[in-house]
Amino acid sequence: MPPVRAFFLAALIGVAGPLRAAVLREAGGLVQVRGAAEDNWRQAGKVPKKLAEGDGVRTGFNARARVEFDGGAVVEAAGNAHFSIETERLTRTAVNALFGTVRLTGSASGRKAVSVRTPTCVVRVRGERTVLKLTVAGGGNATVEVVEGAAGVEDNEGASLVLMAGQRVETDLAGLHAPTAAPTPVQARKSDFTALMRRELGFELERDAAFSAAARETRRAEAELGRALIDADGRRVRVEEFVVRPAADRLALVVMNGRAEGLSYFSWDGTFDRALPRNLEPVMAGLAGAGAATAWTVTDFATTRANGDASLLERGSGGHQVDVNGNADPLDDVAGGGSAFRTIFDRYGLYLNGTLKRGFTGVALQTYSDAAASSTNDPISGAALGAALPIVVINTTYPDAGTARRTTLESYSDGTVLTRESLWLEFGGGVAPRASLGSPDRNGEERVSFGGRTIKIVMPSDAAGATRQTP
Amino acid sequence: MRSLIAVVLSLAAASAGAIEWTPIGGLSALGGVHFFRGDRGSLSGNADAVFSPAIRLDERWSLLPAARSTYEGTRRVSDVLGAATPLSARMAHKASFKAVWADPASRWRLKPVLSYKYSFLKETRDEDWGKGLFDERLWTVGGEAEFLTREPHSLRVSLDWFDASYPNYTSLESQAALQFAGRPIARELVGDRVLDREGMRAGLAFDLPAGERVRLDAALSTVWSRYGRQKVVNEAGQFEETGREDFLTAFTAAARMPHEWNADLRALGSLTLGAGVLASNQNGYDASRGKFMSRFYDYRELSLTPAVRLLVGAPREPVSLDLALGWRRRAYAGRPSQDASGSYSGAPLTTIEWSFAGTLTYPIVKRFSLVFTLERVSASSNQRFERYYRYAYEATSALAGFRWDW
Repeated sequence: MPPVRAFFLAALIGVAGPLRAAVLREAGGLVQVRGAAEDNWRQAGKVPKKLAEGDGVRTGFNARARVEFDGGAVVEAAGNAHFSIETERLTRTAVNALFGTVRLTGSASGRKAVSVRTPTCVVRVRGERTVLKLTVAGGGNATVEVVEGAAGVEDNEGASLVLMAGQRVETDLAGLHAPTAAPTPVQARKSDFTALMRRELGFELERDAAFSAAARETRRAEAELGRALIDADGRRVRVEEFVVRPAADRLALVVMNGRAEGLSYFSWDGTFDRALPRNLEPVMAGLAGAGAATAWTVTDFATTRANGDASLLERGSGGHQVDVNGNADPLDDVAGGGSAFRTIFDRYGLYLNGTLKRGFTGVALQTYSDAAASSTNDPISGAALGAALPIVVINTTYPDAGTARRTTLESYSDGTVLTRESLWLEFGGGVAPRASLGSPDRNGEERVSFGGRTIKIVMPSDAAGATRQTP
Repeated sequence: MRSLIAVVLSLAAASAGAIEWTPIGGLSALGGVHFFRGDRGSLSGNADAVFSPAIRLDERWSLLPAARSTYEGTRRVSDVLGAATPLSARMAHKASFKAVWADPASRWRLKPVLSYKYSFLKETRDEDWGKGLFDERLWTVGGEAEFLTREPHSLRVSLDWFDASYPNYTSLESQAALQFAGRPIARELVGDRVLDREGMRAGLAFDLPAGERVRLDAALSTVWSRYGRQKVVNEAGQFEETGREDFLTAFTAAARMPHEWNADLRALGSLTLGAGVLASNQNGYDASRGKFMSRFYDYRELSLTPAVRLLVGAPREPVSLDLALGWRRRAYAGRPSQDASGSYSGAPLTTIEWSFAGTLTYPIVKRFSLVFTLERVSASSNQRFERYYRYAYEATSALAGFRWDW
């Protein structure tokens, strides 16, 4: 070191005075000390304990520490605080407050300057006796509050002010804020209480989130299962589809609809020639036809469309499997060639509100072209009818060029009109454009009307098509 | 008798004098619009109001009665969007009562709580308030124990009993069993209020500092639900005696780190990892195909959300800009995906969601801010069958309004 620099350093040390000792006088609860040259914190242990420049002190929950300096300055730390001794010399005591709340009592009347440094300001004791409270929060933001006497506060930009008793000021990276009146103990308590309650209110919102998530999953699952749909009129329609097993050789596929005006349903109830397996997947797969004869043959069926006051019932019996591509009727052939087995029924009847309107019969039919229209007998029971069945004319049309709508009109000679309308629906309600006709990606709605009554059924699947057994 | 009344009145007056209360509340109102698959919804708005007269009984005991009402006319992207209902308006009213025991000399805080919430949902034009299919009533009773590790950090453990009911939801099948008696159109053991459930919620949450600048927080929550009226479906498509039970578990862990460029520009970055598991004993049954799907509702979900909050201006009342990017993947182990016609493939159904959210908060006066929010989500899936629910979509919500806290 050059002699001139060494001289000035020695002079500076002389002015500052020799190193002095601070004393940890009280330590209640968890109080730890770290020496200036140490990495680890240690229990404060027995008090009084001497502390040197650079030594750090930290307190745990509800703990308390009191450090006394030469010249009478005292630093008291509350729980969860951290500070270190920056300088302790004859002419100067400086403390570095890093986190938490400390209370400093000191005097500037002697020859010794007393100050506390925080990340965003330096606080210096002024006057005969000064008591101040200093809180350092996250990010280095500090609050200085003078309880007694006066203190000078200087921020990192060099701006400064003098705080008198009963005043407080906050500092942050932007510097000093305007000083305000320090809160009274009642105000301080109320402020702490408000902060605590706001925090609790926030926890309540978090707690609510778990229940909301569970409710959201419920709603999502119902939507994914197609149980809450919108019909052609844009109104809510609830849908449930399920299988009932009334007997070992029977199954019923049911589609229930629920609207504000009540329930309606579609059901296909089939009786087979043998007991059905527990797993119905292969049975359902072959119901609409297969390339080879299936193991189970539907012998009887009843398809019902009904609401509270109207029903359309179709019944068939005498079912047997026929290779429709191998029979003599080219009109019932299934495209693609090869064998195409379908179940053909020898007897069929259509009933409106329990009254037979049309039907046919045959014996071991190979094609429905060979069936004979019923006239004076019920085709299913064979019972004689009171009067001959009316003559029917059936027409299928697509009445609206713009929408996916198909209408089948059955006009009976007794004046009865049966309208069967199929609608393909827009997602979210309404009838889809014509191009969507028959699209598997659309929900279908059936509307059966007769005698001023309409049965509306939204089909979540192609249940009607999969179980259609007759032309 | 008169003297007794006088004593009671004087005691009440004395205790009332010791009690302090402070009002806490907030109000936000935002108007906006929601777009789904390019279709613009009508202009509507959202509002959220909360009020609590917090009461300090003494050094240790406080009461926090609270009331909260929300209205959501503009759908948010976190909603169940795939249902794509033509209308969506939601309203919820909640009342809760919480007691807080916080002895200054103890690290523990104990908080019993009771709450009741009524949620209303309108999804179609013919649904009126109070008649919504998914209207929900929720009762909860429980409590939380908080252990202060190093203030303000803590560890919280909570447990709640709950009862959720859907007053307008009764299974059609159970109604049919009564209305169409004699016909085989309802299964044995069918239940009526099949969505009603009760159960327990358990939660564990903590936050702690990690190093000088990073803060970690994590939360684990599980909801056990027992559906008393909903029976488990078997492989024959019929009901078992066993009732449905679900466990919905969610875990999030986040690391947050502040950064300061200068006094007027700061940022808080965060990275949140989330995981969710739904485990249910309920199966699925596709009746038209006779297809049984074991543990139909089970799923596993992973999510990752990097986010940043930029703070510009004076630290006490800065302009803040929140930006978040989200990725979420959900896989249903027991639910095979389907092609457009509904035929099942072997691959489990998965969904992937990318989201973006930006919120600008501009303080006008103390506690009063203008708020602008933009949210966007893009969802995709290997599920091609979208007859009931949209799995692939893009949706955007834009909202503007104000927030007032006091």
